[in-house]
Amino acid sequence: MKQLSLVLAASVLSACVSVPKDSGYSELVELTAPMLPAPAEWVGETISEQEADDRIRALLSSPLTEASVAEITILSNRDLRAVLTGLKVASGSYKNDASLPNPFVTALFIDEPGSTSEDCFGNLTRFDIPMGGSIGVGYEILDLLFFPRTLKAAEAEFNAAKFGSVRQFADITHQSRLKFYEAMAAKQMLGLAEQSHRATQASANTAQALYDAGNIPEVDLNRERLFEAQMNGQLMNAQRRLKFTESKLVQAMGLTPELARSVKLEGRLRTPDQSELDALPIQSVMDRNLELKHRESLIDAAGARMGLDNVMTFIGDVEIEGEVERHDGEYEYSGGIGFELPIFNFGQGKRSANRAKMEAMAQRYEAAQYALNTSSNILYDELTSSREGILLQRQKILPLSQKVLQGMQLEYNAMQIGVFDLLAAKREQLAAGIAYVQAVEDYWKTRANYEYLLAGGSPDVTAGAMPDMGMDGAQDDGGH
Amino acid sequence: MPSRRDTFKLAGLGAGALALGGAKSGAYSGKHAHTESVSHTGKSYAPGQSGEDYTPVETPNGSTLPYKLVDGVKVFHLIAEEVEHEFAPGLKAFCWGYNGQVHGPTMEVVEGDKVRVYVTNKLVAPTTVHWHGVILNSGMDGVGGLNQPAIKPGETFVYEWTFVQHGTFMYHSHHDEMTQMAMGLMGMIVVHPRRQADPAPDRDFVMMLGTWAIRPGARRPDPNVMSDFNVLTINAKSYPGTAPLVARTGQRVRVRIGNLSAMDHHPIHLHGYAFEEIATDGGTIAKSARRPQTTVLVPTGTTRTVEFIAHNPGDWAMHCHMTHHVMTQMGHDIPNMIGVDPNKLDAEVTSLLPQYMTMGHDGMGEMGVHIESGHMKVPDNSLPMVGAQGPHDYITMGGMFTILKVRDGITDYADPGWYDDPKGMARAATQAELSRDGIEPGPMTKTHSSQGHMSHDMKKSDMKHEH
Repeated sequence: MKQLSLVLAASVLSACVSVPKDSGYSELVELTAPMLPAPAEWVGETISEQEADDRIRALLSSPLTEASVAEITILSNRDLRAVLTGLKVASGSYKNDASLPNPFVTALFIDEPGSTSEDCFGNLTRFDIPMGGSIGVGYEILDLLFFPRTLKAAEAEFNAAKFGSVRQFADITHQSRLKFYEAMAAKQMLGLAEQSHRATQASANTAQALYDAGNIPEVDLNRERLFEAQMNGQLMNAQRRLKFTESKLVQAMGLTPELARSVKLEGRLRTPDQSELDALPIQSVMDRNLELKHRESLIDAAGARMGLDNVMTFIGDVEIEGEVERHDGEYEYSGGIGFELPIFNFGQGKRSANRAKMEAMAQRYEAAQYALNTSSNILYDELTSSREGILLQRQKILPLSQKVLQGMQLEYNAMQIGVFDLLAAKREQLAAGIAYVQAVEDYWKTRANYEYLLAGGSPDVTAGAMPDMGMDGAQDDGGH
Repeated sequence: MPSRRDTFKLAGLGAGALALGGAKSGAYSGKHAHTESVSHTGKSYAPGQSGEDYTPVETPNGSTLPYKLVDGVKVFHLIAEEVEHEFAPGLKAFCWGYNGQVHGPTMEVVEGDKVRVYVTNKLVAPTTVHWHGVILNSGMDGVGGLNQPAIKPGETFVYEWTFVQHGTFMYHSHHDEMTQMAMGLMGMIVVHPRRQADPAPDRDFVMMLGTWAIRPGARRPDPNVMSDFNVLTINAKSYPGTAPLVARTGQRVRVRIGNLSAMDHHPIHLHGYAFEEIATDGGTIAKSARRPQTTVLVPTGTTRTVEFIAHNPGDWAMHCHMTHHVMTQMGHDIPNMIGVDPNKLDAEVTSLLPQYMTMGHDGMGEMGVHIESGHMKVPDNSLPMVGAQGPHDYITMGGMFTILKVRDGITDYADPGWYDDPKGMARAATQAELSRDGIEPGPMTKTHSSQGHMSHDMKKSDMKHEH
């Protein structure tokens, strides 16, 4: 009895686990801080809905930046809010699992006639209410004995949920950063595409003027008009790309249609300076990766649960009961123990299944490690390539394309080439500009993914679907 | 050995004999077509002397090849080498020339002179020298592979012969001609008659016509070009780089024109004069066969010599009359902009290309002004459509263009500057004149002004070149 008391006491003491009051939110903030250009907020908890709305409007009154996009996403994205609410769910489950199991009580009332009671005056009162019955109290003793394990499992499950939430939180804000780069690049490229189209319009109008003056045949005019129409198609493509990327950005930020109209994309995608282009170190990311932590926690939780299951499926249910019964005005006390007899099913199936589950989870964990390692290498290589791509564009292609255009202007002045060739050279320069913007976009997205990886994220290294710009250099000099 | 005086005495006797017998100098005798003023059969003559036996020629922008006299033989030395040559201020190129100049110096001799010519090859390629139109032994003719092995880089060959004719001839490479002549390996040869049949000229000029392909901004001629030559030269100079021909009023002026252009003939036109074509590269044309002309066609591979009395003072243009040959580095693969309204195009294109200006809608005449003034930047080392500022306006000529300047009473033949016409000049008609003569000009035929787009208000002091 004394030993049983000790066990029970230990169980009770160990039940004094502290479930985070903020449902693990502060830990989420701490874990996501390296990944976010803006601090995490919890609308409805750390900031009111009205404050969030005001802040969003204030941010939208200026052109978007990386930081403002992240902040707007944190304040506005409902999926993000759901993730944070999920913390509450996990926290609640944790609290639930961290509580000692309740005993169960059964009460039975028996209607026994003839019960009288005499008062001091000798009056007799006949009681019609039942005066007989029993009250029993039962307890799943194994739940109590294995409570520490249950607690451990609950804690692991909470950690798993927490890491899962952190990962989702970071993923959502990371995605909005990527969409921002895409939208900015699309806007820049549209500007260049518009200039290119204007150049073809100028060529076509020049051809029209020449035709009107009688200097060229109609076929030459039509050739220019055809090229203008083709370039118009490319312009429309660029416009579509901008709309698509803007919509994806709005979606990633989680803006309402009303607020979406206030989105301002202005300026240019920032050109990385030299220090940003300097080679980034390759680092091990295994120890801080949220996905792996999440899976580890899941394995821990599953292990703890399965440890319980393995014992409990063997032992089965064990109950102790105590009963107080009143019968004919007399109290009777009784107690007992009940347990499942493991004759046919002593949990062998469940234990086997549990082993297999653990094995599967371990394999998936290993797979995730390999995938992370591969992603790390892929991203590092991509970052190196995109960095070299930018340097090539910046150090050679852009300056040379500018020199070529300047040289062509001089050749035009010397009447060695005509206006069509000059406009074609301008289009080539614009095409070089578009290629550079694409290189800058590629760089920032790759860098964002790599930084996210280093901070503990698991970026998607596969290419996304995006309308292709399809902008080529000048294809036609109009035959003049 | 007869002295020069003896030679002249003999020549004089010979001349008299010929005069009595009916001078047929220049007439085809049936023996050979080249012209000789004296017999060369079994005869040798003392080396002719400049100033005594002949009035030396002037090669504008060029020079005469010096010689040494060694045992009665005129010894010349030609060095074939790469030369950085200026066609006109602002346009230079790495060409191939002789003795540090392009074209090579004029070889000037007298009929009967024995010559020994050493040719040193300092080029990267083998070469030879052919003496174009000269009658000599087969082995001296200079055709690589046919008459001689090519002169390898670093080697020196020697040619030796006696001139048995007089006239105007040329010398040029005859190995890989397409390349080496396109690079400039050529020069003139003037052989004065041992005995003067025609009156000697007072001013004797030599002009070698040439064509080159030098892309604006490039610094070497392209010998692969077959037809689109863009630098046209007289003595390897393009106007405004060509030196003028200067003469005194009343002088007999002889102009010897050689053409070693790759593919083009040149009709050389002289303003202000009619002249006679007195000789070809074959020899003197008989007087009865000479025709008065104002333009002499000089086919490629020939020389033509013309003569006139400079009776008409003034500044007289002398140029190839192929109109594209008096425009330097003009591009041809450009759209025809004549008749196009530039304003609308300017507005549309300058939004993309701020330095753009519609050109060619009123011709090419004003291009040179804008280029010379620096308004319009062109590739370094180029002179596209550049002419020169004249005394009255911009001279919209370049290329194969020079000026004959005839002045009264001059004794110095340095460039005398612009002619100041004392009798007045063509000018805008006054309203009084128009009314007097019943002239009604009428309105402009085009709706847009071809003058208003480019400002043509240039001062002389803004121009770089003045002649």
